[in-house]
Order: sequence, then C-alpha cells, then structure tokens
Amino acid sequence: MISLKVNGKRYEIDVSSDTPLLWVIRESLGLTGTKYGCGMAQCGVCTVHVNGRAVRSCVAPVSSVVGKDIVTIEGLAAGGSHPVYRAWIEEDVPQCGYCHSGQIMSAAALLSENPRPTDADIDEAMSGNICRCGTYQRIRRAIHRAASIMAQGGKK
Amino acid sequence: MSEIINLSRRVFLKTGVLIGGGLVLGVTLPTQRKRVYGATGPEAPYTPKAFVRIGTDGVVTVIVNKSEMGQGVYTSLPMLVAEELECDWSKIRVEGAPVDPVYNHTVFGIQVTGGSTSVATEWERMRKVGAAAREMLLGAAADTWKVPKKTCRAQNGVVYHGSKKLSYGQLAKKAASMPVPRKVSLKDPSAFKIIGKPTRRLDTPEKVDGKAIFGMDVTVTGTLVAVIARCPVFGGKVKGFNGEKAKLIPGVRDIVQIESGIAVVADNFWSAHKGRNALEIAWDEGPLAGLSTAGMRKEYADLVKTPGTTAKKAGDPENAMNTAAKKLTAEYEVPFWWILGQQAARSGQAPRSRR
Repeated sequence: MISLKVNGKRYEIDVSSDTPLLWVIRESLGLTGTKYGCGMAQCGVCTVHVNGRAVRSCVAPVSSVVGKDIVTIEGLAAGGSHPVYRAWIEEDVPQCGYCHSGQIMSAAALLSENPRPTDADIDEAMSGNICRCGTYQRIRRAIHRAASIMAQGGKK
Repeated sequence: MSEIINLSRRVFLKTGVLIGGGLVLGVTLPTQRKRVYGATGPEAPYTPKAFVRIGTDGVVTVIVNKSEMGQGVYTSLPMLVAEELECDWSKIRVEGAPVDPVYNHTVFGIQVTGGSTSVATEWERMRKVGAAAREMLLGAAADTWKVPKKTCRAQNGVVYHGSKKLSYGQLAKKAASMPVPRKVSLKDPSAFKIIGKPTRRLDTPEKVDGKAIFGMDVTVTGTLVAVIARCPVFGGKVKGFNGEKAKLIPGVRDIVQIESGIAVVADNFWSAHKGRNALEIAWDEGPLAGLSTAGMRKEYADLVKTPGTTAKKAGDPENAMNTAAKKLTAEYEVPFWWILGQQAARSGQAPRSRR
C-alpha cells in the first residue's frame, strides 16, 4: 500500500510503485481533471503541484511523491477563490479546454515564485504547456490578471 | 418548415412530474416527410426528447444535440433559444443530449457534429423552440390574469401585463399545460439582442475546475484498458508476435491481435502500457517501409517541375513570363498535414500532390 496526500486528503492506494502519479490520480482516485496527453512530459496537460512545484505527473513515479503535498486542478479550484482560477474565468481562456488544467497548474506555480512576471517570463515558464487550440494570448492575459488579483491581496 | 409537436398528453405530464413541474418542449423537423419520432408509450423509459426545459426555479436548461469540442456550440445554440425565449441569460444551463433520433442532424440525418454546420442547421429549429416556449409562457400568464395573450409581454424571464408580472419559474408549471403553438413567428434580425453579440462561454467554469468530462474521462464500472502497439510505418502489418513476457505483467488480462496491431488489455493503464512495451512483434512494414520526410520532400519538389493540370487559363502567361523585364523566383513550403499520412495509411500508397 502506498500512502498519498492529495488535495489535503490522505489516501491508501494499492498500485505498483512505478505507476506514474497521473494514473493514480485519474484511475485510483477518480480525479479526471488532470489529463493524459503525451505520457512523456512533452505537452504539460498532466501538470500537478508537488510541494508547490509544477510536476509532470505522467512521468513521476508514485513512489517519488510519497509524503509530499500533491495538489490537482480540483484542489486548486476548490472554493473558487484562487487568483489563477478566477483570472481564467474572467478572461474566458479555454477553447476545447483539454490542456487548461495543466496550464492553470503551471501558471499558479509560476506566480508563486514570480508574482509579477513579464511577458518573457510567462513565455519561458509556460513553454512546456502546449495548447492545440492556440489560446496563448488569453493565457498570457489571464496570468497578468491573476498577478493583479494577487497584488491586490486576492481581491479585485 | 418545421412543425412543433407535443409529446402525447400522458407522457408530457409524466415528464413534467419527473422534472419537478416545469415546462418541457419537444420539436421535430419532418425533413423526410415523416416524423423523426412519435410520442412514446407511457411505460417507455424517460428520455428528455426535448430541447428546452424550464424549471419552477426559473432555470432554463437547453439540451444541446451537438458535441462541444471548443467550437462554442454549448453557448451558440443556447443563444438561439434564448433570443426568442426572452429569458434571463444568467439562468441558462446546458445539458448534452442523450442519443435519440430526435437529436439527429437536420441535414445529415444522424446524430453528428461536424463540418461547421451546427449553427447553420439549428438556426431555425432552436429559435422556434425558444419562440414556442415563450408563447406557452405568455399563454399561461394570460390565462392566469384572464387577459388577451397579445396584451402580455415577455422580457428577461418575466411576463408583464400592465403592472402585473409573473416570472418564468412561476409560470413553468402552468405553461406545461398550454397547447404547443403550431406556428410561431421569429424575430427580424434587426431586433436581435443576443445573436451576433459577443457572449461569454457557458462551458468555461467547468473547464477550469476539472469537472468537464472529456471522452477519456468517462468511466464505466468494470471497464478494462487496452493499449495498442501499432506498426511504426503506415500501412504495415503484424508478421508475428510473442506476448508471453507481456502476459507476466501484473494486471494484464489478455493480448489480442487486431487490424491495427496488437492490443494489450489490462486492469489499468499502466499495466496495459507496460504490457505493450513487453511485446515482441515482427512487423511487415509494407509498401511504405522506405518512406521518409526527405524522400517525400524530394518527390514533391520533383513533381513541381512537371506540367500540372490547368484549372483555368486567361491571357498568355508563358509569353508574359518570357518577355518580362524583371523575374522573381520564390519557393514556398507548408507543413505536411497529418491527414495526408492517414490517407496514405488507408490507401497503402504514398500521398501524391494533385496537380
């Protein structure tokens, strides 16, 4: 049995230790907000937070995250107050929506390290998150908006 | 011409009860001179054969018969309904339609989304649904107040008559008993308040909190997962394989040869994935075994130098080119689109430019 802490809750899961975190989240926990794209850390749709940092869950063996704080899109969006979640709604960012769980998790990790990113900072930090619909301009706007929300103490 | 029909009286009342006393409307388009569906018997299982539902809480649920793939159809079709319904846009909800002939594409005749046809083919039907529901709500209000219907006015989810007013939620139950109008008149485009105006997507909230269900998120109890090993070359086939090592992976249930390769069936994705990687397969790479980007590029470059088919000719371009004072030469290349590879796989031939 593997013990995991996801979105503040503890889980005991019976999976082989090399199973990528993504499949534990999706199949064992039923949290399907985190998506599967390439399976080789090239597209970013599977991004979650491990101890506050953006991690590609499709290549992170579950054994490597035991005892750490894991947050998925469901955890970040819970309560609806996270600045990035709010900014994504206010800018009406998604088109098909498939990549946006990962985009939001990467954006939130960026802002926790760099609360006032420039366009160049955003492009660099977000370059690993692919959007086939091409919503990059709105993603950038939403990150700036989230930064403003945070600068105003989370309020707008 | 579309004709709006009521479900049979008994079913209509039954569905009314099932949705908590609201208004349910079903419509059909007699495109092939027959009704797409008939009224079902009272013992038939409940299917919401309708495009709009108005609850006693005033919530207007539009049942969208198209797949939302990012094109915005979960917003655009409700806009068509709401334009004529004169409802409060903030009370609009969307529900994906179940499978039923009533939800078929009005032209293609099957339940399908594609070809940039959704708004064009639902343009009339969805507006008529909204207009019919509005007329029934107006009728319910007129009946309540004992005034002529034409002296009542619907606006933003409320019916008014002089100083009197009733909300759609208050009227929903009574409206369900009103006759469905046989004919409705639609607005002149100059009166549109919603259609043609920038409108926020209704599906954004569920796409940013992880709740939106995509195809691969659907789970059915007891479902196994299959991962397929495919030939690395389009058009290739399995010559032979050994699945013994794959079968030893915990969780792997079966190894099955299928048209497109070898499928490893397992209890979960990771077991299937590891099983797929443990397969030993000999491929017959087929006629495209030597296909390469460099080879294809050369083939196309060579084809460009050969005479093509003339689509249209005007004037004397050869002479104009030969006598031009100044000649410019440029080469343009566009990315090779994946669908050509798909077609190549199907025909077993390298794609050729059509010239």
